Amino acid sequence: MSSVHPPRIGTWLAERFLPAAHRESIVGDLVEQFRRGRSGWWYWRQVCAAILAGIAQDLAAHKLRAVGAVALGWTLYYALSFPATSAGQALEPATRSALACDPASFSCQFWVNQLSAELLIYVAAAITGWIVARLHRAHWLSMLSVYAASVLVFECAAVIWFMAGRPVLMPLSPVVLMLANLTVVLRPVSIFAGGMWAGRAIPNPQSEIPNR
Amino acid sequence: MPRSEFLGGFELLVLLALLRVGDEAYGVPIAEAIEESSGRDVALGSVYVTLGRLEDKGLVASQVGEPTAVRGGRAKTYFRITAAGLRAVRHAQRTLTNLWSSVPLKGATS
Repeated sequence: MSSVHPPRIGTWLAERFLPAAHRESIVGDLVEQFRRGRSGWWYWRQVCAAILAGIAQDLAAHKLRAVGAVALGWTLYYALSFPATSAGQALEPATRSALACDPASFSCQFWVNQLSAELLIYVAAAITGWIVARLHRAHWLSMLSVYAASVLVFECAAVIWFMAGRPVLMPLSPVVLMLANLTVVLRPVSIFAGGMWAGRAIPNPQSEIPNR
Repeated sequence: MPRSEFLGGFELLVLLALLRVGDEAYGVPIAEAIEESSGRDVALGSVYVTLGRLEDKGLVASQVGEPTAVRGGRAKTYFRITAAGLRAVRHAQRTLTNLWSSVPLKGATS
């Protein structure tokens, strides 16, 4: 049995992240089509495609601004990574004793690193995302997306380079591979989270439309 | 013809769909007309991005309609082709016809 109410989160995402110009019309079209019998899967696909199309259009129209946003983001990321790394290294002994784990084991090293140095790097990454979004108020989603995507590409390349450089005699276990992949996405995710935090404070033209 | 009136492939499809749908042209019927003709799924977001670009070029004009209950109280945006848009479509048709007429199909291999 199909519902007459379209996916609530999908509608919220569309109203929050679609380009302001035709936001109401697109959401209205999606709701109309859903009530005509389109599936929830179709609805979600259309919402995601519309958001991505809006980001692509904004980036195509503001290429120089996008380059500037990426440059700004990376400069901040690089500048903040030094104090974050130093502070994280200073925290490592305390984290290790708090976890009370075997320092020789991989899992101990991983979690000590994650909960000290990496955690602060994630905070630094979130701050860079917040600043990039705040400084590009009219285009915050597209600028944030292109910056986070550039970090994701860099992190993936770094992991591939790291894996390729390892001797064949030291194969990596599936757990290590999974954790490495997790850390690859956590930095861009932190950037996005920081930017979203800034974005929620940026006035949204849609909010002028009364709740229906 | 000004450079801004040269049309991309999807832009031409959207303009032709607009002409086909007529006065009641908004996102849904435009997307459906393209889907029927091309046999491919069309994202509504892409249709609106293209319509926005065509509007910026002055090839399309829009008008906001009344909110309706079936759309959750949201209004439709109706689109119509402008005189410049019509010229651009005719120009594209002439260009394609000229090119097709000089394509040697007989010797083509699959």
